Amino acid sequence: MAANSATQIAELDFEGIKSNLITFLQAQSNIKDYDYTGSNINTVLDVLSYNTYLNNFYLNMVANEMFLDTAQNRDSIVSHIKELNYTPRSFHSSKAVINLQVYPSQRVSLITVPKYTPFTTSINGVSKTFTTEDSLVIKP
Amino acid sequence: MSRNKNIVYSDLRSDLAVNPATDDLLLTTNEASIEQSIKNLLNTNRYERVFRPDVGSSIRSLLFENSGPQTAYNIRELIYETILNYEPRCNLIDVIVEDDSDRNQYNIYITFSAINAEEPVVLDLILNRVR
Repeated sequence: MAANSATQIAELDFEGIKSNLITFLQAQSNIKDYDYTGSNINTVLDVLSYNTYLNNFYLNMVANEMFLDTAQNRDSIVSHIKELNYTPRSFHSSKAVINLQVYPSQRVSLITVPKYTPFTTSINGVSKTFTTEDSLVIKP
Repeated sequence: MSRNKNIVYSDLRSDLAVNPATDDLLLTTNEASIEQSIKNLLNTNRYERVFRPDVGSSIRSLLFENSGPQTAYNIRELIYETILNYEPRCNLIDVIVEDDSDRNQYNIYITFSAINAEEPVVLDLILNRVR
């Protein structure tokens, strides 16, 4: 039975975790090949260290994202600030106000401008296209 | 405490066999442990071990080359390089690679002695071509 039962595995780098596991194994004398790269016990230590590393990384990320001060993901921050009654701003499309004059060739009761009808203009030599969000019905 | 003071190297067996009476994992010891380690290293491709991209021999890639003395020489060089880099427990004495084209395989004989023993050990390996 190993004497150092409190193995340190809270490191965030692979080599540190593996080194701590090797220190743990040094307290026993049945399996001695942990230092040699080709040995089976060394391969097992690699797998254990990798698994521990991934778990530690995952836990670290989860703990960070749980608090507004340390969160990195925008979604996490939006979720936190919702509790503070703050609604974040985001991108808005530009709008154009258009005066549309229609001269129908014959008498009509209704004029319909379909949804997504494009209107193109030029601003400083750059072509811009605006589209209607909804269909419009005009009564002459 | 070690069960036997003559045991210098001990490792888990690759088949993870257990003692039927005690259910303890069986161990390989001394030269057998080194042989097992060499086999592991030669059967490991580079970039296969996590965070250890340099470990291994990439010997498998040579099995797709045309068989002949040049490929046998390259296999021999890779074996030398791998053992010298990653198996410090053995004194490598000789590596013989025989091209056995009739059976689509290379026969490998690695002669070494453990650093704490004078008796040389010959490890026989067969590399099968996969096409």
